[in-house]
Amino acid sequence: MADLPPIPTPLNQHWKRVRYQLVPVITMGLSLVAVAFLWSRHAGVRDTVGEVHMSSSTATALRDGILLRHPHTKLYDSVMRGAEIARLDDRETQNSLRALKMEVDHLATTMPREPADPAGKVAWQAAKLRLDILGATISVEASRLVRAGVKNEFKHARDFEMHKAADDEEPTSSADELKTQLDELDKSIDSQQAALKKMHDDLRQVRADLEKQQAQVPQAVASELLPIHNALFQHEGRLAELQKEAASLSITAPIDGKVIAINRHAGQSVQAGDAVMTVARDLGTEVIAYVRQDQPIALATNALVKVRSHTGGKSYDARVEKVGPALQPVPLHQLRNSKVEEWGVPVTISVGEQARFRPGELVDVKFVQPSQTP
Amino acid sequence: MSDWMDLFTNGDVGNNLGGAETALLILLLAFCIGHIIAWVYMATHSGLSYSQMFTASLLVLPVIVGLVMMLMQGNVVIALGLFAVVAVVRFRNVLKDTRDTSFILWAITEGLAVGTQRYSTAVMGALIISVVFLYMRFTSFGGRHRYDVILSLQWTGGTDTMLTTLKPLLRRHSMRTRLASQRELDETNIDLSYRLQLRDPKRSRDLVSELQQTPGIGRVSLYHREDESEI
Repeated sequence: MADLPPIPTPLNQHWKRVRYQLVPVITMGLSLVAVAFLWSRHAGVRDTVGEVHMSSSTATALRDGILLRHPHTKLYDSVMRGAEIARLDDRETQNSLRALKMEVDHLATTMPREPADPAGKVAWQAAKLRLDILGATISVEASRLVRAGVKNEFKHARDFEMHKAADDEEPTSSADELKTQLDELDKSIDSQQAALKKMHDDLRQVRADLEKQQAQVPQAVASELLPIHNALFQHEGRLAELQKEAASLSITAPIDGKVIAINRHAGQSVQAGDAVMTVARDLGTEVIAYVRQDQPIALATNALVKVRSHTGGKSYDARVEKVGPALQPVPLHQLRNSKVEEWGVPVTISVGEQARFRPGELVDVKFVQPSQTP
Repeated sequence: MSDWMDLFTNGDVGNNLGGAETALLILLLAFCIGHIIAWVYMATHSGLSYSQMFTASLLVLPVIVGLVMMLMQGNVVIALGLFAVVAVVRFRNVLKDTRDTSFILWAITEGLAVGTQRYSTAVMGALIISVVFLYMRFTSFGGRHRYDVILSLQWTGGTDTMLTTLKPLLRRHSMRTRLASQRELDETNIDLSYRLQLRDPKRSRDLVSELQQTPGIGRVSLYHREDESEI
């Protein structure tokens, strides 16, 4: 009897033991793995909470004037750096250009007759070409101003036809009509510029000839042309001023981003230096965090930190850029307990754009590497 | 389908702390900690009044309380509401064991979740806690399963050959053998009591008959341990 082998254990008995003994252990193990994954992904470990700094810039008026209606005057519109976001009324500049053109036309009537002497003829041609170039340049500038106005009208009409916002002012013409007008203006400006280019080439050629024959130019011709040259010099100076004035009519976006504030609206008058719009970057590259008094973190610039969104997700490497000089009260939304005031040293952390943090977003900050002074 | 999933994970009307992922983390972590508490209780319990139901409650209670705390989130009004409901239920009913209490607490918590418009949390809590209860049923969680039968016999063959005779027999039928008590009646007779975890509980009669046929063994009796004996 003693030598008999152990009796076999039935399969259901084995299964029962698996259920009672093995399954709990496996379940616990799997749960721990899931917890570890979720914990690291969602909660993780952090030293402090920071806020992505909103980088914004204000577009200011470069001169006094009245703001025109502009398609980009809506809040949260995306704008590119250098793109026109507002425009000042150009009527005054256009009038000045018109007046200058009249003066130049008048000057043309005072031109002496073309001399018979070959050297004098070259000198006369140089003055005439200068006069023609001045007149043509004024015309191009005036056309450009008209084009800028039509372009704004066209954009407004197109946006109005697409979205038909109730609060938008109805455009004076349809988008199609304005587009045709714009195309015609473009063609006209192109032909004017081509003619201007030819005149410049001719003037270069004539000046080269004149240099060779300068000594042979009769004194009488030179004397006759002197007041013309003097007047041209004055008018060219005036045109340069008006060109600057025309350029300063356009108010451009200082950075890529979105319009977050409209400080002046269409129809309002502005003075040079007045803020017209505020543009903020879509993505934040700077985080401001506060290291509390009780945290044993030695702060210095260039320290390696891990930054990730407060709601979890991927961590990104970042560096401490600047360390504040003194303890400051921690902002309310960054407090560990909103009822307990805290003080901390502010640090600026530089994060790459690949993190795609939005300005104002709360992020978890973990100081990975002991701080190093570069 | 994705709309339904979205509704399931983000369907809370009130504020929820961190969304579905956080809720899952909280409930899973509570489940793991419940395991630890229950296992430590099982390992350290030495009295006679061991209760499987109580141990099972130690596993599920952290999960339910985790759900309760998710709903409260520092809201004193909800906390007072919970206390009031628990007090009313407790006042009108005498709850006999901790498992019943767990179910009552669970039911109240689910009502609280739905009433505070945390629909996703309510559904997720209901599913997870149901799974925990089913898991406890499936694994008979809290049962120690240390033995199936208690074997009593009288050895009359003297102590020299006792172990060499009994040990192979018991090992043939049981996976685990533990001597529970030994009482020496005189120089040759000894009353022995063993706790056995049988290889095949259905063949316990074979063990009894083999023991009865063995010289030196008498007054063999076998008591089956029932699950209910662990109150």
